[in-house]
Amino acid sequence: MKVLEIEGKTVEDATRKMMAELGVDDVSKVKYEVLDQGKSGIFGFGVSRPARLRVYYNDSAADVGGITREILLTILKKMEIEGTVKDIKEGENKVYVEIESPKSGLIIGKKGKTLESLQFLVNLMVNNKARSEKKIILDIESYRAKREKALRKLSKEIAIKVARTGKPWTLEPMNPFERRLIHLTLQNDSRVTTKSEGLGIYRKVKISPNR
Amino acid sequence: MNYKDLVEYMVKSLVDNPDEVMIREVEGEKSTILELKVTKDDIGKVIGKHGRIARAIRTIINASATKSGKRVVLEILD
Repeated sequence: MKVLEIEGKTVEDATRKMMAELGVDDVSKVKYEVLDQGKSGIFGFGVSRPARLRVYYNDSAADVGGITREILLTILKKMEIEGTVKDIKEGENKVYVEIESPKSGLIIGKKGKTLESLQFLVNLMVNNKARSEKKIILDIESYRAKREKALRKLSKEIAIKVARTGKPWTLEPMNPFERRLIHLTLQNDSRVTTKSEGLGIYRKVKISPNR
Repeated sequence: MNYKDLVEYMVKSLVDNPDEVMIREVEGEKSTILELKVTKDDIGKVIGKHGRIARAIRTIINASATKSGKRVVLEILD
């Protein structure tokens, strides 16, 4: 439970700010008390006091799933790409969204770059609006599972090659999640060792032979 | 395709001062340039660590621009 104090010219004004702040559209969903009704100065004379509210809210007070759906669909519409939300699963810390679109290739992009960017931006936009810290995962046509399978296969093939030739091999740059997957896949392979090299977006996994 | 509208929507949801987001679209023959201006305090919110946010916005713009074959450039002014 978190507590927040909000000021406004009037109680109504403060209530409006509170709802915008929490990203909710129904006052009855929010628990709050009025600390100060506020007082407006007459014609600029007298002492004016802002109205103050104290709001109690859970991180889950905002409808993160609903906000995610709204933001994601708005972006796709503005990108002029057809797409719908097939399924949303909201957990304690995560929101899993499955997108459906005839233009799935366009949404995924080369090596999943567009989907990655979309996910990154949706996370920032939703968590900024809902004041939440949930991790939003976007998926389309089981792209994540397919990519995972492909990476496992690739890393095993390269491990065999490295063990045979005795020469190290550096994979293309990958995001932290994908690098982790490679490390895990080859963790128990006694023939090779994996290590990440480089900085930021250029960070890549190097597979070296054990001797 | 309204790139200005797309960028405006994303940027306004990222910054603290959405009312001060300004975008100018300069249409050329082969490319479109989008000039984005936000307040000083918000500039980090559109660029991000190591330019990660700016790069993501550019990727989204490029994905929407593939149909037209036009180059769309996002310039962040300071």
